Amino acid sequence: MRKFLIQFGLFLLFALITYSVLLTIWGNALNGKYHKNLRYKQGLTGFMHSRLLEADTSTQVEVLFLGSSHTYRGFDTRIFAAAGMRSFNLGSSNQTPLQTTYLLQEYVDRFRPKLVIYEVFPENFEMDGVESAVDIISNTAHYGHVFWQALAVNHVVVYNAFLYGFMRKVFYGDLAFREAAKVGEDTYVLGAYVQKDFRAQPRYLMAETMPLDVESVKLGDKLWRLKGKQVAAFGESIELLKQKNIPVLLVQAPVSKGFFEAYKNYAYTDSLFASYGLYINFNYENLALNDSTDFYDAHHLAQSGVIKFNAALIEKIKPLGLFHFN
Amino acid sequence: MLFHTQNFAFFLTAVFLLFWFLVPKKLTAQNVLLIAASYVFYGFWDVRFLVLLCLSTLIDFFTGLQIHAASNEQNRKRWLWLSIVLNFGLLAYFKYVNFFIDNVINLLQNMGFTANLAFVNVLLPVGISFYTFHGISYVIDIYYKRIEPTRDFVAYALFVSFFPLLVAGPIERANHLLPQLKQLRKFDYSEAVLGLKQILWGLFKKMVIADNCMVLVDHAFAYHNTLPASTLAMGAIFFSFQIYGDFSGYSDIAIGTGRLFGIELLKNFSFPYFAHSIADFWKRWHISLTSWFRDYLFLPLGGSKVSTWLSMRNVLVVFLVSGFWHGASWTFVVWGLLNALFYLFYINVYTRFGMAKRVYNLVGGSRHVAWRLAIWEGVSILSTFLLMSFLWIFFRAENLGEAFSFIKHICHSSLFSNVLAEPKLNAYILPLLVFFLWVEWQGRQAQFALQYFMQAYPKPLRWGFYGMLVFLIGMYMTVETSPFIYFQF
Repeated sequence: MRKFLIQFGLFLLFALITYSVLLTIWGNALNGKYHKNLRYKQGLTGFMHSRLLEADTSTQVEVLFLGSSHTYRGFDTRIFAAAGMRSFNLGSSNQTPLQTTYLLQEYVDRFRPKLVIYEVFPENFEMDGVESAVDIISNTAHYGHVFWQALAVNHVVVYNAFLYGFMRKVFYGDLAFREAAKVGEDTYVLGAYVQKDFRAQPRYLMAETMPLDVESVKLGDKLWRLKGKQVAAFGESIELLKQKNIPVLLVQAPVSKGFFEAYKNYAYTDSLFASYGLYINFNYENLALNDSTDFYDAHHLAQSGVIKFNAALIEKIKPLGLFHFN
Repeated sequence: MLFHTQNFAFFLTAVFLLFWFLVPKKLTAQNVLLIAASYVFYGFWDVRFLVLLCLSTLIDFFTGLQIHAASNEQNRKRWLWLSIVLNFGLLAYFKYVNFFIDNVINLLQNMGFTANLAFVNVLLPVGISFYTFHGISYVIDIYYKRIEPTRDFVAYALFVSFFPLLVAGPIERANHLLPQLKQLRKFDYSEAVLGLKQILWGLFKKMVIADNCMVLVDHAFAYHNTLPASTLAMGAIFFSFQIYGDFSGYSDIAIGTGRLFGIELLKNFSFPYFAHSIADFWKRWHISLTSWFRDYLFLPLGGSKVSTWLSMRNVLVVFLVSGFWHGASWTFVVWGLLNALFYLFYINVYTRFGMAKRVYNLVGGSRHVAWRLAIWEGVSILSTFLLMSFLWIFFRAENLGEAFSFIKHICHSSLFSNVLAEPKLNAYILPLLVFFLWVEWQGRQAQFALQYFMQAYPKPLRWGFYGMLVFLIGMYMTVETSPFIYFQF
């Protein structure tokens, strides 16, 4: 028995080495269509590489934004700067509370913000967090810390990304990668906001040839089903901010009317979010948003929508008394 | 709790360590621990069904003792029938009641009557088809005096509920498993290593081969009305690999797990897709079930030692019952019927009238004997595989309409269109299938493909190969856990 356990332990070690070597070979030598569960990619979407690089050199952030793509596409740091608030956007594509907790732990002491605006989109509470974890792992410089993030998500795709990234860093470094400031219609703005050049492909022109994804959703028959582990991670983030005496404003960003009305259990999600702190669902606010011109898809604001939304948000921040406004 | 999940890995590790460290020298304690583990394992699906498992165990243990103790033949028979009726009663209620109601309604409606029968809201307890067959074989063996009933209730309860085989077999026999459960198990290093190898190969079959084939199969069956015939044909062939990888993968994990506890379970597959004929195939596929039907249905009906017509009837009955055992649907019945017809054709026409020899002469045109045999073997294996792939269509289809529609759409000129253009045919699946078949072919003389594979090579190479299998699982496993197909039976 003793021999068996020792041999088995040695085999596990041997298998881990074999696995890592083959993963590196596969990732470098084979076309992407042959590595199904390896999705490591720097600068994949949403300028995460640039964002984390900037985060590592930024200090004196007064407002920190956290959340999904609604965050980095919805909170324009230039608008907040004009109102007298230095802000930084730590949102990322499909960021779930598991990743938000990690990012908070990583950056909150560096930034020491006066206010955290945590964008809560119920869909991100339904996800397992794989895409976002791979996004962070592929782009972070703090590699040792993301191991716990990989464990928290506990998914083979995330483990593969972690191991592959580790091998790259150990054997030939990742220093060569430079992300462009403009990719397609997206432009990276200082403070990690991403502006969509809506004018390049106006939605109202696309509508005739490309059906809105919201139109394929049968109105009013969908339910948000939040994952327990995401709600727990969300609570963990809130608790961390409480411990550090940093006020948090929970915000649900506006989505198109059609998308919003497709779900029928907002009473549940609203009451859940509200139980964690000050919460505003901007879908109930009168922002005069137009589904065709203020959104570039069913639930992402175009720049015109961002301007309206941010102005309304700043009005909500004023009464908190945290900032001196011009 | 599915075999290819983290939960099972933790569960198995815990039970293994407890078994060998906590109770290495106490037989009853070993059995009690394994029963407790088995009930926990089963309870993960639905705790309520544990009652059924206990009930089935008690019925067969008790009736087995009564049959043995009965003073005359009439009483023996009464106890036997009581056990059979109760076991099949459970099975009939939980598995077939809605099928029966549905067909009665259809029949009455076709006759012009209005039927007001309500469907019963009943869940199928996982594994019921398997553990009831354990119990039935036990009491029948006692009745025919092949075995003596055990008075060790703990050993019997473990015989019925041992967790590796509880939900999808192999269907064990009392004379094979019970004696093992009455002896203290001692740790055997080579058996444990063999067990791990078998588990690894089972995981590869399920997670890499079966689950990846499923993508194209599901697509082909769901959209068979619009897809080209070449995609449908590929879908049917992939289903052959899917069901083999799924079920034989399950069996390998079950048997390998048994080995870790010093228990040898019955072999369930013997490389069925290398069979030379349909008769050969059925000696290699789901062996524990086919041998069960042979011993408890075919032979009691007279087997093949009766007139040709009666023998043919017996074959037909066995295949029909076997089809129906798989599920409460006409697709399974037709699948069983077609298997029986092809089987009977092979036995009674193909071999009896010398057709096999004629085909052999036709395909083996070369003078060179080795080449002739190789061509003959290749043609036999390929034709058997294609026949079985065709028959699996009925097994996979949701209903008979879909099966016939699928076949109709295969018979189309687009059968020769380029299947590689199909977007659902992932680029990595064909190389993986070639690798899989190569390993299976190399290991086809063994109990399972990896048993002696690379045995002659030095340890680093062997371990490197196993490490590569682990890597292939990690790289190509389907991230959404899919249950084993046979769990539904």
